[in-house]
This record gives sequence, structure tokens and C-alpha cells, in this order.
Amino acid sequence: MKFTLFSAALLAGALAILGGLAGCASSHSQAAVPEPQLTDMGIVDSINDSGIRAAIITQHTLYGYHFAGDSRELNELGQRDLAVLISHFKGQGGGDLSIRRGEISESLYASRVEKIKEAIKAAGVDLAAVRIADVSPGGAGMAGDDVVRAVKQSTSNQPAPAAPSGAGDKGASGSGSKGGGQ
Amino acid sequence: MKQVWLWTMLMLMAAGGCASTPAAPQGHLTAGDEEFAAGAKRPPTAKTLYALAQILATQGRDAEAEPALNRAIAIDAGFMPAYCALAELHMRQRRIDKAMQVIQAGLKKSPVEHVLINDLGMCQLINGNTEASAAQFARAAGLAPDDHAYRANLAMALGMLGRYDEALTLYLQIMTPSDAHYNLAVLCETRHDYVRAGGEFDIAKELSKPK
Repeated sequence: MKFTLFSAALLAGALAILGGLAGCASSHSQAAVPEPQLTDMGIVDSINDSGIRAAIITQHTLYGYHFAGDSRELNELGQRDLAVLISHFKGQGGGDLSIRRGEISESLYASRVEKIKEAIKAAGVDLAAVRIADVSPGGAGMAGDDVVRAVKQSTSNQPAPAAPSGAGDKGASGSGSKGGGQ
Repeated sequence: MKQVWLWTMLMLMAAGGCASTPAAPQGHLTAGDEEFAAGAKRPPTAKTLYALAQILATQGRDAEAEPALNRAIAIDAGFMPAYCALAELHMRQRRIDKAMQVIQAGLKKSPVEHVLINDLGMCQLINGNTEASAAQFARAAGLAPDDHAYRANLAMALGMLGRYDEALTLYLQIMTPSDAHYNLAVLCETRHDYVRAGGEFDIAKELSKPK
């Protein structure tokens, strides 16, 4: 790791003040937060922030940080974000989903894809209408990744999904005008 | 000694309240007066002590805020804001291990308290355990998915790990593209990745230009 602990601590401190610490006053409650009912087959879509929802849909990408360590299981954030995408797929009759492989093994990646497919199917979405690939959130024009056609190759009979509008490197959209947590 | 001071302050606050209340004619106490009189005899609640500690902390008087928070937890072990404030007090004082102890104690009472989970991530980050901190931030963000701060903290941790694309994606969810690239540039700089940092600063600058 090249960065120094001091600079990391500085950065962490700055973000903590405006992030975690600021959240303290507004987010705490006397009672414990109820455990969300997050199960493999019962994903709850509870993201209400319209800017975040829009960005998730625009990016339509699951990354390594959405998974619990080096496992095939989605973590809480992964389940939340996937739930937004599933809601979107239901409304649109399908769409694109990118699952980034990163540096994990091929077998683990395949297992993750399978797990996501199971979740999508369990939510009542027609898998044939969802194209799963390993591409950057910028979408078309950013080829170079191995495309994983993990779903049925019957998309030719399906309406073409909307072209991704791109929230990639040029940050075209999806982030809204809200400031972040820093 | 500190506790004596705190109790004195509480008494003064209560006394001040009494003094400012116009004296009602004897035998004509209102319902509010009776409630107030009853309240003055009660010991401070965890919430009161927490509020007092917050005031002291904003005045930079952490040494006096600390016993108030400890007392708040002793009175009500399920009062999560006190754990959070105490952990953050220790963090301010660079007592990271103590902060983590407080956080762990709080999480035993409320395992899904996202503020504490986030703070645990902060402690781990400061201790150099960036990978573990990312997991905590992701958990906090999953428990409170609308909270921008947790996604930002996760982005920061991922950026520090060199996972730039993931960091940028998260930043783009919660801020303008220009700000997202700027933040990523700062993280790249922190990792001494000056080439990428320069590129990100350029993108941020370009995106910030009025169109």
C-alpha cells in the first residue's frame, strides 16, 4: 500500500466528520433498527432516494463490493441495489445487467452469475429478457470485457432493452445534483 | 471530580429552569407546574446526559463529556447515540482501540446499528485495515441505503484499495460527475498514483465547465 497512514487518517477523519459523525445525530434512534428481511429469495427494495435509484439503474452494474467477501452471496448493499434493478426490469420488461468479474476466479464469477440469475428469477422477472454481461457501466462502446451470456439466448425475440445512458467515466448522468456524504 | 461538576451543572440547569418560571400563587399550581416539579426530582436520563455531552463536546470539553456518556450508557445500555458519541470522542482523542471497544459493546446491544457499523469501519480504516473497513461501510450502506455518507465512505475505502472504477461508480450515485471525479483524483493522489490523479482532475475540471 503506497498511501501513508497519516494521509489516510486525514482523509478518513475529514469524511468521518461529514459522513459518519454527521449521520449520528440524525440517524440514531433509541430502539434498535429492525433487522431487514433480506433473504435470497425475498429481496426488499427499500431505496427511496431517487438520485441513487436513478444512478443504480443507469449503471445497472454489480461490483465486487456488492458481494460478501469472496463468496457468491450478495451483501446487504448488493441485495438493496439488485432489488432496485429488479424493480426496473419488472417495469421495463427486462434490461441489461452487468456483473463485474474483477480479479476473482472464473468459477466464483460463474457462481455469482448463477446466484444473481436465481434471485432475478425468484423475483418473477423473465430471465430471457435480462441480458447479463461483464461490461463497464458505460455500456456500449466500452467493449473489451468477456461477455457472459448467462441467460437464455432468446433475446432476439425480446424487445431491445434501452441503450445505457452511461454513468461511466464521463459521468453523463445518474448522479443527480445532490452532494455526497463527504 | 468531573462527575461532581456534571451533576452541579445539571442542578444549575434545573435550578435555572425553576428560577425563570414565574411563581404561581400558592394553591394555584397548573398541571405544567406539577409536571415540572416532579421532573426536577428525577435523576437525569440517558438522553439528558447525552444532550449534555453533546454540548460539552461542541465546546471542546471532551474530558467532561466522556463521563457523561459513560453514565448515560450505565443508565440505559440500549441507548445507541451514547455509544456513538463516546466512540467518536475516543476517535477524536486518537484512542482508536478504546473507540472500537465502545463500538463493539454497542453492536452487541444493537447489531444493525448502521452508525456504529460505519464508525467501526472508520476505526479500521485509520488502523490501516482498509479491506475490512470497506466491508463495514458496505454493510452500513446496505442497512441505510439512502444514506449518502455510507456510500461515500465505501467509495473512499475502495479508492484507497485501488478499486477506482468501483469507487467512481459509488461517487456518481451521490454527487455530480465533476465532484465524483475530483474525489477520485484525491484518492489517487493519496495512493501516489499521480498519473491517474491528473487525469481525474482534468475530467473534473472539464465537467465543471458551464455548458
